[in-house]
Amino acid sequence: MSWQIILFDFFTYAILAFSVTLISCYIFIGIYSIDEVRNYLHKNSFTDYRILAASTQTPSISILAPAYNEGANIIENVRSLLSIYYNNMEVIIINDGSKDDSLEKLIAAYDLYKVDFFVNEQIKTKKVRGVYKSRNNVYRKLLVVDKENGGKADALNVGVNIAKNNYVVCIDVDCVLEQDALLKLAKPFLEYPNHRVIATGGVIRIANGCEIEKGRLVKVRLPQQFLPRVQTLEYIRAFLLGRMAWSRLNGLLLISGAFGAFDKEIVIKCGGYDHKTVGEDMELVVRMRRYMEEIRQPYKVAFIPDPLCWTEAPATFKILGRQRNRWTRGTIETLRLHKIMFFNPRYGFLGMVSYPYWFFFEFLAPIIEFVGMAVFLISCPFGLINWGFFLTLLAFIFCFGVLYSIFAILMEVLTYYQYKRQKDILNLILTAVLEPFVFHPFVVWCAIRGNIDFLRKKNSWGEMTRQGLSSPQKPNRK
Amino acid sequence: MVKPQYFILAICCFIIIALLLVAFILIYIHLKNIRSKKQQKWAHMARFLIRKAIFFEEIQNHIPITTRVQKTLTDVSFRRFLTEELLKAKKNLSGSAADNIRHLYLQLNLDRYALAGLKNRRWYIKAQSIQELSVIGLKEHLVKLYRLTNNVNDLVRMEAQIAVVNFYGFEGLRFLDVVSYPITEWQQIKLLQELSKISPDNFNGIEKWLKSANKTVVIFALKLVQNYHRFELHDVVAECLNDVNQHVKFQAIITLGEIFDAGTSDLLMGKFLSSDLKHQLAIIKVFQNIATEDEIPFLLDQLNHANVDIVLQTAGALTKIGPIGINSLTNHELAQEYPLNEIIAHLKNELVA
Repeated sequence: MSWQIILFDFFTYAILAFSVTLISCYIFIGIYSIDEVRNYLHKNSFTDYRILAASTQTPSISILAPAYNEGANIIENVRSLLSIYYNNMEVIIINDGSKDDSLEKLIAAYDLYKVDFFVNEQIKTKKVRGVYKSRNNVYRKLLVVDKENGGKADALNVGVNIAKNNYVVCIDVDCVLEQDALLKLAKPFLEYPNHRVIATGGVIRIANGCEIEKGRLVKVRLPQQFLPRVQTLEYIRAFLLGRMAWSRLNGLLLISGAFGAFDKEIVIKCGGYDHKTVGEDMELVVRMRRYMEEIRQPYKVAFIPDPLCWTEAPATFKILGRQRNRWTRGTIETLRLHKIMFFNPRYGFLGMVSYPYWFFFEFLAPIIEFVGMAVFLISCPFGLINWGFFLTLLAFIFCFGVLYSIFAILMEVLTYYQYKRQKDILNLILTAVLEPFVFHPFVVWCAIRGNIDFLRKKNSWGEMTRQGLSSPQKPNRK
Repeated sequence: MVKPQYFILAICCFIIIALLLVAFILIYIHLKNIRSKKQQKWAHMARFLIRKAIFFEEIQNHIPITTRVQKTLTDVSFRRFLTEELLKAKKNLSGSAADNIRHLYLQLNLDRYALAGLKNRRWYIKAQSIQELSVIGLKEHLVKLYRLTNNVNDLVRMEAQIAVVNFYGFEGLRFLDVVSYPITEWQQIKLLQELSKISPDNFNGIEKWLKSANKTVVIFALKLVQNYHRFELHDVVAECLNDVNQHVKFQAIITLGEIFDAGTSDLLMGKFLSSDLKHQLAIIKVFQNIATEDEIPFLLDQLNHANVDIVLQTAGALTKIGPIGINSLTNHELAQEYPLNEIIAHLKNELVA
C-alpha cells in the first residue's frame, strides 16, 4: 500500500467520521427542536398578550437602534419603532456619525431639540455630540443621540449608557417588527423564577418580496429571487430547528444582532459590546454566558420561535459574500476571545458542548469541506478516486441535506405557515434541492475567504448596500 | 472499508422519507385549505347560534338548535371550534347575555368534554379544560380545580389558580397557603389583573403569605400590599427587609415606598449602608417619592457616593423635595465638578420639560 493511498484513506475516513458526527448532530437537533416548538405553541395559545400590554409590571425596555447613513428611510423606520405595541418603553436612535442628512431629517420630522443630558459612561465609547428630545408630546418616548462614528458596537454601547430601563432591545433600524414583538420578547424575562434570563431572541425572517407599507408588514410573500429565497429556507432551518433545540438545551450562543433583548445590568457588568470584533452580537452573548458561569448564578438565554422581525436579505452574491465573510470572522474572533472555555468543565454545558459544537461544526466545517474538495481535486490526476464510493458519499450527503431542509419546511408548515400558497412551498422544496449546488459552495467559499481575511487581520465590516423595503412590491401576474 | 451498499441503503431511506414528507406537506396543506373553507361555514353557524342565544329571553327553556348544528356537533373539530367561539363571546359579554352563553354551553353538554379533559394525561388539554370551566363560570367544579392549583405542570397550575381567583376573588387566593411551586412573575401579573376586576373588600391572609416559606408567595403578597395600599402591614413588610432572599428584599423596598409612614425613611436610611448597590439604588428611588426636608442631610451625603447612578438618582430625589432640595443640591461642594455639574444641568432640563 503506497503512502498516497494511506494518506488518501486517512482523509476519506476522517471526513466521513466528521460528516457522520455532523449529520448525527443535525438529526438530534431536528428531533429535539420538535418538542420545544410544540410546547411553546401550546403555551402560547394560553397567553393573552393584552394583559402584558396593559400591566404596569412589565419589564421596562429601551429599544436601541443604531443608524449610519440611513437618511433614505430613517423617518419611516423610526415611526415604525414608535408604533410598537408596548407600554413601558423608550426608543433610542443612535446616529453613529452619519455622513448624510439623517440627523437633520429626524430633527425636522420629530420636532427635536438638543437637551442637556447626563450620560453615565459605564461603558467607554466615542464622544456623544448631543442628545435630542421632541417638543411634541406624542414622541415623548423618542430620544435621538448624535455621536462620533465608532461602528455598530460602539453605538449600541452609547445606547446602553443612556438607556434608563432595565432591559435593552438591540435592533437594526431598518428591520420591520411585528406589532407584538416586544411583548413576546419580554415574556421570557418573567417566566423563570429560578434562573436569571439574561437575553432573549426571536425568529428573524426574510422580508424580500413581502409587502411593506409605512414600516409595517402587510403581506408575507416568498422572495422571487433565488438568493433571498434560499436564505429564507436557511433562516427557517436555523431558527426553527437549530436555535430552538439549543434553547431547550440552554446552550444558545447567538442572539441575532438584528433583534434581541438583553438584561442591561449584565451587559454593563460584562463591559458591553466589543467594538473590536465584527461579530459583536455573538461575542456579547458568549461573554454574558461566560460571566454568569464564572459567578455561578443560574441563568438562561431564551429563544422563541415566533417570527418577530423581518429583515432584508442580500440579493446579490457580492453583498452576500461580504456578509458571510464577516460572519465567519466574527465567529473566529469570538471563539478565539473565549478559548479558555474550550472543553473546560468549569463552564459546564457551555464549555463542554456549546463551544466545542461551534468550534467543530460552525468554524471548522467549511474548512474541512474545502480541504476535502482540494484533496479530491489533487487526487483525481493520480487515479486515487474510487468513483463509485465518492459518488455514493456525495449523494448521501446531498440527500441528507435536502431531507433536512424538507423537514424544516414541514416544521414551518405545521407551525407558523407563513407561505400559504402551495406554489410557494413547492418553490421552497425546489430551492432545497438546488441549494447544495449553488448556494452552499458559495457560502463555503465565503467562509474560507473569511478565514483568510481573519489571518490577514482584515477588520472591515463590509458595506451592506440594501435595496430597501419600504415600497410595497406587487406580485407578478402571469 | 465502509461498504457503499450501506450508503446506498441510507440514500434510499433518505429519498423515501423526503418523498413521504413532501407528500405529507402537500396533503396537509390541501386538508388545511379544506378545513379553512369548512371553518368559514362553521363560523357562520356559530355566529348565528350565539346571536340567537344572546337575545334569547326564556332562560328556563332550551335555546332552539337546528338539526344541522346538532349533527355537526358530533365532529370533534366543530365542537372545539364552537366551544372557542362561545368562550370568546362569554369573555366579551356580561349580564343576561353572558348567562345565556353559559346556558347554551351547558345545553350543548360541552361541559362533559371539559370535565373529561381534566382527567386527560396531556397538560395542555387539562389546562384548556380548566380555562373553559373558568370562563364559563362553572363554580360547582371548584374542588376539582382547587386540587390542581399545586399541580406539577406549571401551565395547569397557573390556569387552576386563575380559575379559583375568577370564581372566588380574593377568597380564591387561599391556594397561596399551600402552593409549593414558584409563582412566576408572569403568573403574578395575570393574578393581579384578574383581581383588578374585583372590589378588594379588606381581604385577609396577606400577613401569613408575607411569612411564607415560598419566596415567590412573599413577593406576590408584597405586591398585593403595594397595589391595595395595606398600610396596616407596614411593620410586617419592614421585616421582609431582613429576608435573605434578595428579590424579597428588593420588592419590600418598593412596597414600603407605597405604604410609607413617618418611620419609613429612618428605616430605609438605617438599611442603606448594609445593602448592596441594587438595593441602595432602589432605596434612593423610593426617596424620590417620599423624601422630605428631614432627609436632605442623608441625601447630600449620598452625592459623594462612588456610584454615579446613585449620585444621579440622589440628585433627582433632592430636586423632587422642592426649592430647598434644589438649593441644597446646587450649593453642594461638588456641584461645579463632574459628574454633578452635568447631572444638575440634566435635571434642570427635565424640570423645565
